[in-house]
Amino acid sequence: MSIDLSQFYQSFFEESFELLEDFEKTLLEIDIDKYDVEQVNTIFRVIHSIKGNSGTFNFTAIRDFTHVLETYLNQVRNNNTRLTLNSVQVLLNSTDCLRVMLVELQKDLTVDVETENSKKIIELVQSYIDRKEDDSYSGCEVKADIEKINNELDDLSTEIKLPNRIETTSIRVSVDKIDELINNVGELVIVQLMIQDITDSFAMHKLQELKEAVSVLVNTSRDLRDGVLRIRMLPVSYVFNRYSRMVKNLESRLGKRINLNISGEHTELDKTVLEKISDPIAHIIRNSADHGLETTRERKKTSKPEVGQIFLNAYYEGGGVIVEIGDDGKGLNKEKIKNKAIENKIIKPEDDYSDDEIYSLIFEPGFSTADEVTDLSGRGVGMDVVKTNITDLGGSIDVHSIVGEGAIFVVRLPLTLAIIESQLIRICNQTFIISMVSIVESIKIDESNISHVTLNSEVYKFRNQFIPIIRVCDQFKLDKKLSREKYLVIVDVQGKLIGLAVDELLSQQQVVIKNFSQNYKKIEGISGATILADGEVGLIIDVYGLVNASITNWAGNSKLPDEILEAGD
Amino acid sequence: MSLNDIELEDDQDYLIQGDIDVHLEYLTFMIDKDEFGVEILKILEIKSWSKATPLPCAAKYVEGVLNLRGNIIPIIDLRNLFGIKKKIHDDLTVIIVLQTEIENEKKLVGMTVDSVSDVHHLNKDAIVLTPDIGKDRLSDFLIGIANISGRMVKVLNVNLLVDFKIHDEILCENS
Repeated sequence: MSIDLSQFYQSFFEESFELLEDFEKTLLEIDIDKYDVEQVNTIFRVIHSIKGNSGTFNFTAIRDFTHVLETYLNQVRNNNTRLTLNSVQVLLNSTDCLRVMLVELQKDLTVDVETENSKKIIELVQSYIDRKEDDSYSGCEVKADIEKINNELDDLSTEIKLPNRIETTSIRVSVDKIDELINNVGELVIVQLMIQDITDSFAMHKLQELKEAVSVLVNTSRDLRDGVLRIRMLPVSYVFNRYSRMVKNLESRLGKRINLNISGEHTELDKTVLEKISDPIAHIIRNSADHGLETTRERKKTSKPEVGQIFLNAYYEGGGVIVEIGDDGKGLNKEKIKNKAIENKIIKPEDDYSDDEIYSLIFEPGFSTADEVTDLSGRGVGMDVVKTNITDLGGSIDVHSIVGEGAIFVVRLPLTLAIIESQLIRICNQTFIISMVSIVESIKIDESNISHVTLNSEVYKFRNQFIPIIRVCDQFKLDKKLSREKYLVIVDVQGKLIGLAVDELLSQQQVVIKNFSQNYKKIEGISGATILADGEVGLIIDVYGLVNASITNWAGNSKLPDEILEAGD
Repeated sequence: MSLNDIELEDDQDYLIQGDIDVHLEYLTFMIDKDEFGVEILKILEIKSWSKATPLPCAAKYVEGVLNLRGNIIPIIDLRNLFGIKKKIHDDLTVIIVLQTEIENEKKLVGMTVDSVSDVHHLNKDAIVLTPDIGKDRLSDFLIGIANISGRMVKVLNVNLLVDFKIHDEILCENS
């Protein structure tokens, strides 16, 4: 009798990825000179489980690969051989290799094959197994091989987005959270009965009772909403733990000694935010390690401790989460940044800027002050992308620095992407929504400040600056007859100001974002919709998309103001 | 994917399942003087007409989007889509909400029709292909026609109706 195993594939992959994370974490904690039996047992167990699971599903390549690892680890466990720096490195590499194999397999279940790297690792580990009596052996050949594998694996891991981040369709939720939800639902049922009871035989004297019941209902449904949103929340350790490995790799590549201090890893963030923030934070850490921290020799000269510190901290503040990435390195070089900015014509030499304003110039596109471009960072394509990614999430990033003492990046993130603070506006008798994050200011239109650059493009004089106007009504091809444009909502699109002409400004409120593109198709300039208090649908304007769309429109009419062109790039 | 392929797949589907025992239920509804049918299993619900929120830059046959218990669904004006002359919505006008899955993605789309008429059991063999002559924008959305007690009922292809990306192709071809 054969059992259909396909329903278990998903959990196999998820479990394997999780096991690998444990494996990696334990390996990183292992101190070659004195590791304890429990640690070895842990990594042995992990490999043993993966082997067992893959055997069940007949994924032979993974089974064979883990079998070799298991044999080696068994020897270590029985004290026939000891772990060495090299073997730990190889084991670490094998986690990458396994991840790659698993990802490929997940994409296509028939690709259960060995890779170049897995063959090499098997060979290496096999050689450790065969050489068990002679652990002092560390031939040049082996070292060279490891170097080679390291390099190749590095190439691989940059090419292939490492797993777990591609498509996680399920989420693990703690029982506490679910219990809380069940409680909420219980309460909801009670309130519902209360209201039903009151309304079944309603008389005016029951009005107060009804009001109270409704207020309970409001509270309960809010708790329920928060509870449901909390299901999507994951502790930041979910991504933070990956950085330990990265820093370890950086240590050997940069020849610096670095210690990564992680705190606040229990702070929770929306899963989507977490996944999107993982790369930008990695980039900042790389930058800190590469440019922020001095070399060991430099540190000795300035009588700093030899081991450089990188701090990674997360905590709640207001309605969001703050992630701080700091180092105790040399800090940002103000003069250098200023000169570079003048050179790149980002600022004028005569302008006066505060320190923090100058530091924030590093987020400008095409900005890099590193004397030398290393393979890690310094190409000047980094920080502006980091900033864009973070602002896309509705967050912000700041940098503070003290020369000689270090720099700190402060990333502010919204708790969730499902709810946004927004401004409701009215255009042609229709309610639209703009996220508060992108709004700089809203002003009443003074017709005398409008001037035409060309027939189709207008600018508005706003504090001695000419900013382009987009007439949303035209852009969305709404009924022009209904349009009464009275206000200008000034938005910030990648550092450029753009004015959106609207009819009316309504209230500011939180809205729940709903996506409907799977039912329809993507609309340019609309990022989603929400349900308004009266049950009608309100469309959420995607400011960036709207600006882009209007540029394409203008491009058709040739001549367009440079300002807008740049903003769209 | 060309249109012909889709139709073919559907046709084959019907032929294979077209055993004599296979009866499917169809809901029929009216647009102008024509009677149309859709497979009842693909209907989520029928609701009274209400004004939808218009979408920017949308084609004329898209009335807008409505809130259906937290889901935002686009509404198609079938009259406009099929090129039948316009009529002001009245008390009988209803929205039929279709629910299907395309490439593992659940799709919800509503369509306004003049009025619903009846539910019929139909043997799949009873649906014959539309004659090849005189193709227009309506014929592309049909699986075939069926004879129900002497009346001709046009059976709609739901998977095409809910796929806005394919609409563009169809409308392009026929314009």
